Amino acid sequence: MELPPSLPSPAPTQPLLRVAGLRRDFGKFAAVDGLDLQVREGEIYGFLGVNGAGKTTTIRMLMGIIAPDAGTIELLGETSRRTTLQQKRRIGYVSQEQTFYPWMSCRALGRFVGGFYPTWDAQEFDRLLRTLELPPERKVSQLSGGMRAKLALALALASRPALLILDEPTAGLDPVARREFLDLITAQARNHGRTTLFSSHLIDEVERAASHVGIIHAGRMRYEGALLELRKEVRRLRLDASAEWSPPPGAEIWRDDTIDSTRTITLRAPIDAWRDWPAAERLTLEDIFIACVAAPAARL
Amino acid sequence: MTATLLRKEWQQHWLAFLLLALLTFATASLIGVVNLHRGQAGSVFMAQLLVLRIVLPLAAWVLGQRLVTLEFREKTQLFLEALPLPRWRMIAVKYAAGLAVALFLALGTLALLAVFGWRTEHLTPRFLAILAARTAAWTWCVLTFFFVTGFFGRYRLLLLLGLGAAYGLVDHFTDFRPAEFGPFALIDGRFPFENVTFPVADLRTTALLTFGLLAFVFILGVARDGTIGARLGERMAQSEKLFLGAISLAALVLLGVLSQRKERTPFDLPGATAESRDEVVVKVAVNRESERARGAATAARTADELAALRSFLGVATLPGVFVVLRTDFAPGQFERVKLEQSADLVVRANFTAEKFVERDFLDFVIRDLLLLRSRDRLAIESQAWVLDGFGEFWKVRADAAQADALRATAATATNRGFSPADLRAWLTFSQHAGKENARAVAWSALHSLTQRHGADATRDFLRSVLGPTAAQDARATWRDFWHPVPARLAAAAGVSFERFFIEWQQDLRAP
Repeated sequence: MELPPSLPSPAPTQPLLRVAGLRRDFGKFAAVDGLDLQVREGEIYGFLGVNGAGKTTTIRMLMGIIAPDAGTIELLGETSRRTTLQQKRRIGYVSQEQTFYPWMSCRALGRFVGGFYPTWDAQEFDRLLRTLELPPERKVSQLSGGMRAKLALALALASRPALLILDEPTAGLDPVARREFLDLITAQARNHGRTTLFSSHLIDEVERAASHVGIIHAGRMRYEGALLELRKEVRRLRLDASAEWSPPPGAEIWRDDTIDSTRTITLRAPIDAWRDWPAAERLTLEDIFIACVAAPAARL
Repeated sequence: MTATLLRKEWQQHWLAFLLLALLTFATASLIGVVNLHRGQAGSVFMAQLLVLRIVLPLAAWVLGQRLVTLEFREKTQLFLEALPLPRWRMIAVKYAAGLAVALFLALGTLALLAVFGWRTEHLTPRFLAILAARTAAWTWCVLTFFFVTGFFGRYRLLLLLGLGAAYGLVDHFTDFRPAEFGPFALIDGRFPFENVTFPVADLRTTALLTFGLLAFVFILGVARDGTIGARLGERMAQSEKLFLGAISLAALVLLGVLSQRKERTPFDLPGATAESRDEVVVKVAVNRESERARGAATAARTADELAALRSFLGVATLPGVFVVLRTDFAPGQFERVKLEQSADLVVRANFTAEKFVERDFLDFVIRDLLLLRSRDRLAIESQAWVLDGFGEFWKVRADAAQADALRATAATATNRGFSPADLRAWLTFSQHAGKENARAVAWSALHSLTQRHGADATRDFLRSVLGPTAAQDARATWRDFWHPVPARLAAAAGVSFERFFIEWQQDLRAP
């Protein structure tokens, strides 16, 4: 099966962000439940999960907006329970919803945000506004959703951050604006080697932009690794329901459905283990994602 | 970072700040100048007292609303939270900005009024320092209080209503006087005049209270990652508005009931001549022994009249009536004394005057007694004609000759046309037709009702309108809304108001 093109996996570099055992409860509900995550320098990391999986809560903890109940965050070589102000100054952040002051113009907003970042580059911000075709004197209230997302990106990039974190940045954008936005992120990564973590529940976005992926479900990390490896490791077998079989060595069954007389099993196994299974189907990222997070068909 | 935040607050709210400053300084100047010219207030700083009591809380409310509530309601605090900015600093800067503006307004008006009073007031440094200390401490406390309420977002109005109700309850039902406590004592009646003693205890209490409120500000703003303020700041759903509206209404009704249950201090006139008839008590006070006989006669006559009234209206009790002799009054001059803490009627009259007309005096007493029982609801335009008509009805109830005269007056007063709309706009009609003529017209309605449907129907109708005592809350309005006068007439006489009106007009036109 032909897979859509994606960025090649870069050579292993130093981890810029490492999260261990991160947990956050809201009452009795564990929104994030012992999450481990690692983003290396120069990576574009797609943080994939269905709505309510815990993506935004994780990102809000990474940004220091809310405090974790447990776990540690190692960011830019410094480990802490909660992200510090110094660390925060080196992160560019685009939130899911752009709640800027509507009465401020794009330029005024840049001046305001710049007051909080010692590394703020006003010229770079002006350049970004020009590149992104944002009128500097136009008020935020007069910008479309797509323009606001671009403005958020310009604000996030103008401080020349070491890490860019984007929380479902394309939510609510039309397909053209979404494509433009993703192109901007990938261009940043290619041209400036910008380490980026972006969350999404849209497979095609992650496939288009990310080199590495983390799949979160019910507050836990279900898979983390390079996108290319994921595609090679996860495959599907179709067997006679009554046939005896044994899984490939080191395999982990993600989904096992039997419909009529056919048993469909989705497994993750080391690439070498698949040599003896030439009939195993390769899957699209969407199939892999669904196998990873959806309930088995028998339970539906 | 702080400068950036302050600049942002200024850019966002400068217009509101400017309008508040204009309002405050204009109010202070206006009151100050007027008081100065009229020489009524006693001190130019009365204007400052009014500013501190009325304008400043309003300004603090606006500041709390704009600096806190608006940020949470528009969810722009999420944008601030994403910046490398500690939450406590965000709140501290907003608080400092609000306090600076409030102090500028309060101390600015004080300075302005000090200029006004430069020639008329004895301004010593100590006096100015006391005024400034009282002003600054009150301002600090009020601003902090409204800053706290700002965090309550959609519930802030309810919170204020609740606190207002609590203040009223404490003031009414306990010996504790909130007006004499800490911050409130700083702006009591002594404010414009106290130029020697610093109110140290009150300043200390105010400071402690304000520090407590300030701690609450930071708890609400910072605790649980600021989610408390964010939750409270969300817009209210329709169902929530309805629910809270119902709760507020119920609380107001409850307060009314409670305040009614509060025992009022009975009024008394020591040494007065007393007359009792059934549940009626009349006391008459005179100045000299020689006037006592006249007083006793007035008391006896009034008591008889009121006993008859009580029996006619079928009411259990009537308020006590106290008559105070005022020999300086004209014979026809009667004056009701307003009593805040008593449900009794106190009337001043010159009943020893030669030309004193007892009938007019009794008419005045009965009218005011009925108004008192109804908490003045009988003066409402849609009901006032019944009270006017009853005055004449009661006066001439056994005097056929006077009845003829009244009928003639009523016919003349309505010969240019009269409609039910005139009854609903009775005060306007009364103004155009003349008070006496209007009373005759109202009487003719009761007379016609008696002629056509019997004395019992008239009595029942009058009992239903004049008899009940009115509640001191929304229930009275509710009752009048659901039982308007035409409905009561229909219930008492078994005739529709429209039919009755035609009958009445026929009687008025009869030869």
